[in-house]
Amino acid sequence: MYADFRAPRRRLRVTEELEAPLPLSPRERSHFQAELLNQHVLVCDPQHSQKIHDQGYFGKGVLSRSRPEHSISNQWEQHEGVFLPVVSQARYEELLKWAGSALSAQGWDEEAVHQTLLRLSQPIQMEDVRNQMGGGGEAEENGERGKEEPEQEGGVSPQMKRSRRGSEVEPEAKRSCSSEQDSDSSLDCDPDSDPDPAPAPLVPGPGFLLVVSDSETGGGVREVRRTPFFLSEYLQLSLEEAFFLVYSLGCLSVYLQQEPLSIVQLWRTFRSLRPDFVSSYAVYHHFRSKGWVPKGGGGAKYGVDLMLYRKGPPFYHASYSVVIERADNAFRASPLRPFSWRSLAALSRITANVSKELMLCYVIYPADLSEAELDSPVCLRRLKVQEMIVSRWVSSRERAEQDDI
Amino acid sequence: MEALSCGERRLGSEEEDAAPAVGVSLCDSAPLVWRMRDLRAIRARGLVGALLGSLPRTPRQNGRLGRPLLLLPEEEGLLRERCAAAALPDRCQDGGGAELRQQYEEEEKRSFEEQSVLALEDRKLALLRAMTGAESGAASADEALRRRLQALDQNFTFPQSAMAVQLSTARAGLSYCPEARAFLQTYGPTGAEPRCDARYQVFRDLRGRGFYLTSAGKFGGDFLVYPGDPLRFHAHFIAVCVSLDESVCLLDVLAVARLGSNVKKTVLLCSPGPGATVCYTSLQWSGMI
Repeated sequence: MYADFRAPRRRLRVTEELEAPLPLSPRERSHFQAELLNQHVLVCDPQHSQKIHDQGYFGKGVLSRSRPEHSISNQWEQHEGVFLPVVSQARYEELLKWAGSALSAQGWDEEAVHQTLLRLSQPIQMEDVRNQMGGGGEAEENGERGKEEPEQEGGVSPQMKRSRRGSEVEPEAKRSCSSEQDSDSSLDCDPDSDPDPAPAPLVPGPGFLLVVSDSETGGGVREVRRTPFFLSEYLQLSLEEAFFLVYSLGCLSVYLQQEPLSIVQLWRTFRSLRPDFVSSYAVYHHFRSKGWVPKGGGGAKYGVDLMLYRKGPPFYHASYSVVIERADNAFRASPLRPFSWRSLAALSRITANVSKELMLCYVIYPADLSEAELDSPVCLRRLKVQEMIVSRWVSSRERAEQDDI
Repeated sequence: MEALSCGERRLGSEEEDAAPAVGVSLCDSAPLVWRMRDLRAIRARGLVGALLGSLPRTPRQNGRLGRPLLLLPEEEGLLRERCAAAALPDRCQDGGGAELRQQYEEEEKRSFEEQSVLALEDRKLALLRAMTGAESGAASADEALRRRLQALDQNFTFPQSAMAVQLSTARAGLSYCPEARAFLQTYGPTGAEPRCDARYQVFRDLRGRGFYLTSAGKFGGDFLVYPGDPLRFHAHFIAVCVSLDESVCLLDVLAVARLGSNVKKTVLLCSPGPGATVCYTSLQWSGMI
């Protein structure tokens, strides 16, 4: 029986093109910024998050499945020459309610909130929309004013459509982030994630949407309203991805309460956040250096730690499911994930069912590695990584093949 | 949590007690059952076991297997608890090995001699047919024929490897072993203490509710739970036994739940609780049927 290496399976529908992964040429030295918030690493700037995701498939949008592409609606329609997102009446009222609670949380009194919401939910005429599109430049300044002015919140200041992805502020979770960025108002509107518009219909700034009243099933009357509430989407990086970008590629800096962390500080912080960080980072680094794209979050679906993709998730199905184990030189240390026959049989079978290959990746620690050495990333050079593929053998299938021969 | 129920008529306890005890042969601590009567008795109690042996008429396949029947340790424990089985001592298991072997070798030798005589006859006949069919010359043909036949008589050897071997498909000795019977009648099975490990508790509870259980090693679980006889039903559940104070890795739970959904069975996490109760939790991966 020989080890069987299979080529990665291409996905049926590939809708993206592969860009060159990071690092870029020395001329374009990119430098991205991320924050460490509540034990997560988040990239708030939409341009940075787009670049980081496109060039190497690092990270995951917090409101999306992979790439940060959250938009207010999945359905966009043309309405009198303008391309607008479509939401149902129920969803619109939900957005209004969120806007109201956000304002109350900021300390506005009920009457003011009520008035603002009433004003916000007036139907808009198309001429206003077109005017505001044209006058986008001036409105940009309006949007930068402070949060107290009621006209500024909601969809009031549609800037000119920019090419970056959605980045609105989500108040409750990211309040600390917004407090750092003093220049923005908490409900500042940045452009929604617009798809590239067809040349004929124009896409206004994000402040507008089409509300469909859901009274009858067939013909929903469509009305143009302002967008009451924006959800911003960040790119979340796992600890290993963030450390890889900081340490190996040198193109990211992670800020903790507005202070950039040095490499050693970051290592120690991550080690305190997760006790097995050294092993999981060693495995991540190992596979990245071989050209695989390891993704950590999706592994839980298949009961493993990492999935390995060739070039990236949009192009190929994952080739390997990796379980990270640790060992000392004589393979005696207590494993990170102790397997019984039962659990290994289940894992092996489900991996075969989803057409992946199970790989156990052992990180071998030398016996004399001290705690002081582990406190800095320099210890990585002393670790060894051993890969082992586990495949399932079914005796009756084997005999059937031999009979054919 | 689903209510476990099974609409099967259970054997009355009097019927079970009246049935004679089953003799279990131990092969390195694996409990094997050889006799047809015992197999039928075990099946009547609702214990399935696993057949291990090959069938003499169709040896090169494992779709249908024959005796012996391998019992799960839990099944053996249950039989012992109900005083329905006893382990046979070694001398009964041998079944008169040495004499049987001698008998078999003598039979083989006899068969070989008979077959070589028959083979020689066959060759002569074939030669005759060939010679008389080919030429129709008178004297020289007969002379050549006679010479050929003589050479055949002298030089013909029937190779051992060409011998046809008869396999007996019904062995008289297996069902009728007087020593074993005598042993069982004299000593009888002794009731054993019920085991206290998690698997046994779960097995006993599920069997008591009327389910049939087999081993689920292929599915990464402990037992496959059938609502009736496995020959008539598909399994509904994969039972995974964990004790209440055991900590389970979440990724293991996810893997087994996903596997269960892939093979269209519900995963049951079974934990024996205080007293004789067992707590069941069923898992299903939503989004996959």
